[in-house]
Amino acid sequence: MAVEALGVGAVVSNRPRPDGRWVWVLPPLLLIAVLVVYPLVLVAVESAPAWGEVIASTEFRSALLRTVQIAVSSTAGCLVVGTFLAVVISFVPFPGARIVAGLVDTMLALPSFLVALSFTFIYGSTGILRAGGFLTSPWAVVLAEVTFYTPFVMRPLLAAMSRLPRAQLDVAASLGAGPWRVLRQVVLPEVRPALLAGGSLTLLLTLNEFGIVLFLGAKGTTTLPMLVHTKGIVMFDYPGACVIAVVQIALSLGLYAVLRMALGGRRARLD
Amino acid sequence: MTVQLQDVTVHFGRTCALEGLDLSVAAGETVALLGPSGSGKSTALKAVAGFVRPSRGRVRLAGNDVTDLPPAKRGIGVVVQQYALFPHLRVADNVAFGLKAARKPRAEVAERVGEMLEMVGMTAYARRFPRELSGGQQQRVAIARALAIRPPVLLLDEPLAALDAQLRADMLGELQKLRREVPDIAIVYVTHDQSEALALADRIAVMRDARLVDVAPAAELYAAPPSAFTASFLGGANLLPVEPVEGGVKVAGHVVPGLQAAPGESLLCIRPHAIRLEADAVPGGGGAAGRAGVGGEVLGVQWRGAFNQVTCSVDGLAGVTVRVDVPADRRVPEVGADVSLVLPVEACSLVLADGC
Repeated sequence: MAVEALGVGAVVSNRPRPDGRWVWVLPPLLLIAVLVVYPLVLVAVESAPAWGEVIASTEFRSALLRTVQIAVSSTAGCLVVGTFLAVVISFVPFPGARIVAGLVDTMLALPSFLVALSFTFIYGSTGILRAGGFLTSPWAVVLAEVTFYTPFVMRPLLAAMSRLPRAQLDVAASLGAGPWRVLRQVVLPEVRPALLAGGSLTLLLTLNEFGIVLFLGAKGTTTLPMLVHTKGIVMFDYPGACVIAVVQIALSLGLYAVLRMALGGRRARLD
Repeated sequence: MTVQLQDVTVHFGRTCALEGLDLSVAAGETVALLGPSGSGKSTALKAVAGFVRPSRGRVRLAGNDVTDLPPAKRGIGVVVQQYALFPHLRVADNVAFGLKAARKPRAEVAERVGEMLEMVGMTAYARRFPRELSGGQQQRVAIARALAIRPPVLLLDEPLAALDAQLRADMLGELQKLRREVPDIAIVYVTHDQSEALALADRIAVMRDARLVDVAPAAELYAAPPSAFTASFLGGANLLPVEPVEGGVKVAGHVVPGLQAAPGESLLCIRPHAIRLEADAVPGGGGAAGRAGVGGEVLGVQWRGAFNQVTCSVDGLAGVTVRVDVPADRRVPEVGADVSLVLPVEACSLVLADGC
């Protein structure tokens, strides 16, 4: 009876009160609207009159092509170099492996133009290698981006490889698989989500990379971010700059959506 | 001999994980490496498989020295505790892994995979991924995968340790059946569970502190353990200090006739089920002379289903307790009761005190 009496009138619900929920949701939504959405809408509105002219121009198309070429090449390079280094650090015991793994994290904290600056000391006309023309070619941009963005591939790979059960590698070896087969058929398939995550992040970042391209000042290496800078800051062609910026945003968001779908689908299959 | 370990020693840094192991396993024989954690049994298995390199000693397979060969060149089947199935491969592809690594023709691979899955009763699960299987099913696939390459030696590292009690009992039966289906393979079975070792092994190698303590046929080791550690670890024998007397040995003032203590043998070994418990007619014991056995007091009773395990102190032996298994249909004395522990001479043996 006492328990029943206590229960009278006591309504238990996990559902939050509607008015209480808005107190928590509204401020961040407003913040996002003011800081992110509104400026983007302004850019889109500003771009309206210039679309036809910009899209038809050769410099826009070549910049778009060059941006994609550099981003794809850099990402491919990062994936190859990053996978190789992660495998060596994870599976080939050598003194200082932990220090090297720690340096990977340090690289993530550095600004990208530092790599470009260091390149001038190596490949510049008065640099160690005196590779005159190289520094101003698109390949220098790719090499600099591979140097700077490889840790973005390595970090998730190192984490995934450290979680790989040692017993799986041992058993694979006992079944007659040599190191190359173990890498190809056991390690890489199992770290594929990390590889995809690192690769997609790198692709997004290299598509938008500005500091390295600007610092190297490579001839014939006008990418979309560079074109936005040139049109907006140098030529004061704001509508034109806004068109390219909108394309850049669409490219990044589109790629992000595709990768989310690909990764999400894969995750769902794994679950 | 299919497997021969000769003075095999393994160090991990400054830690000695295995010290001077000498052991042979014949074709068709099952040898269990039995011991507690850190006894070196898994390290011994890894040395055979080639997963660790001995710092001293040689490993031979079918007479060939394989100490310096990588695991891929040894052709040994290995099953580990956590199964280690490849999660991205279907069951059939897991079983086919070793055959593909050996570049066997596609038709042969398919045929062998079918045979193996049938043997372990997993044919219906060939298209499933490991995550879609239960623990026992994963273990069967792991066994099929290891046997698919027709290894002369199968190494099983605590294969049942990750399973629950009922499944473990079922899988034990499966492993016994498997043994009959591959009669020519030498099996090394690592376990810390004495019941698995007794059920499966022809011989048991008892290990402790990185060393081999005793090795002998399972029945022999159980009936007449050569050392106190083996007696205690295999079957949980009671060990009571003795002193030799004319015509037998004296245990806590009670003479057990007919036992001759060899030099160094100072412990009487008797299994818990072999001791007979009798209630004292006179409370307090009434002296050693009035009893049929050693005097003691009941300290605790644990019901184990088929029997009660009674723990008793022993009069005159401070700090020594004795476990007695009393069948469930027999009356159990109450805690605090004075009892006589009757030690039938035919169930007693003498062992060396080895610091156990």
